[in-house]
Amino acid sequence: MLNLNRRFQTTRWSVVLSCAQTSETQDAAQRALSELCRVYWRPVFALICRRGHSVTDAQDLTQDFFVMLLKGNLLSLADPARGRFRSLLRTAVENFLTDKQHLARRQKRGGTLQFVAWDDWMAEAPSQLSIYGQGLKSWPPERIFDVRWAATVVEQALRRLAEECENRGRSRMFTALSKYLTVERIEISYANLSVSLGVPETVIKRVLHQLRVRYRIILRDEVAQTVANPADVDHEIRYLCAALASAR
Amino acid sequence: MNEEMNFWGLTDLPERAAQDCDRCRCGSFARVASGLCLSCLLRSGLDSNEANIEDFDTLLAVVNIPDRDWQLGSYRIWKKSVSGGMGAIYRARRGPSRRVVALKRVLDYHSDSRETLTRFQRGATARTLDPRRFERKSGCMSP
Repeated sequence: MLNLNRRFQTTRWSVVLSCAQTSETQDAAQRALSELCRVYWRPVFALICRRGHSVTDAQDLTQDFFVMLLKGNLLSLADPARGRFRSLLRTAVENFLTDKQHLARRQKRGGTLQFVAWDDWMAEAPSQLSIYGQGLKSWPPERIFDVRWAATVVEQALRRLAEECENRGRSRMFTALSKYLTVERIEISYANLSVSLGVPETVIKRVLHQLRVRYRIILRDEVAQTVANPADVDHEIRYLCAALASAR
Repeated sequence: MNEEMNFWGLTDLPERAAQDCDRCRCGSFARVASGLCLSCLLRSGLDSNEANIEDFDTLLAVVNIPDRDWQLGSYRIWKKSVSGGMGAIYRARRGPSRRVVALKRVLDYHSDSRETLTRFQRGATARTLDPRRFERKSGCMSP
């Protein structure tokens, strides 16, 4: 196991949970929760769509859900002893959808409240997830939620890695090498990459290795932000891997 | 987002024909950027290979693979103007004519989707680029 847990002793979700436990309303907790919601709105939206709502209605319901969440009404459900942001969010949105009062309230006021900047969220994190296979249409909502969650974690990690490279003027390098993040080394043509990027093969090998290492660190950090205890990172990754495997 | 969104908001892109993962061969059904396998990317978070970790920021600073002055086909790239989910727009000079253009490049993973290419071209032409200086390059080779 990577010995990287020491990097994130305090996670966003642990900050949120600590304040939920004491019923305090602290800016830090609100900011942490807002950040988590900004990253993980897609699984909620996907689950709502899968429950049979149109895209337009699902957008409204997703916004209403996050309005309620960010106001703190649902944090009392969080159990710090077993807390994972993913599981709480899924439970919370399922409860939200079965509560007819929420739907009625939304219809009464026309569903016009724009508490979250939907367009900003979309523009900030465009998804490049592509799905293959025929079984997709039979997936239950919980599976849709977990698959979308896994994709969000991975895409967020890739986005952060790309930004780090771009900030150093190395986006071309990232574009050329990132497609080999998971490819077996024996299948990579270092000679071709060397020619196209204009650096020796040894440099390509070194950079690609460090790119993989850095990606792993960022991925684990992303996962860690959603669990209360950093020691749960491996378990959470395995859960998501299992969710992907079962969805085939 | 619009009504065309497919599969309950799971993805912005249309479903494609079933295709084996020719890189990892893990049988996964989902890909993300550059066609990378979602399962493999996630599982690599459990990888125990911790040898030879360098400071990544320092490495980026010393490796001489700059974004400026590289060749993309017959275009000499000056800089990236903007990038998004489907590709990027570069400021470039066209080789033979020496004309300065805004070069739009579709990510290679999207280059086989006619719908994506149409939307990509329409968006760029309508919003940001002078059509007289708009040149498109899809399905690009590696830089």
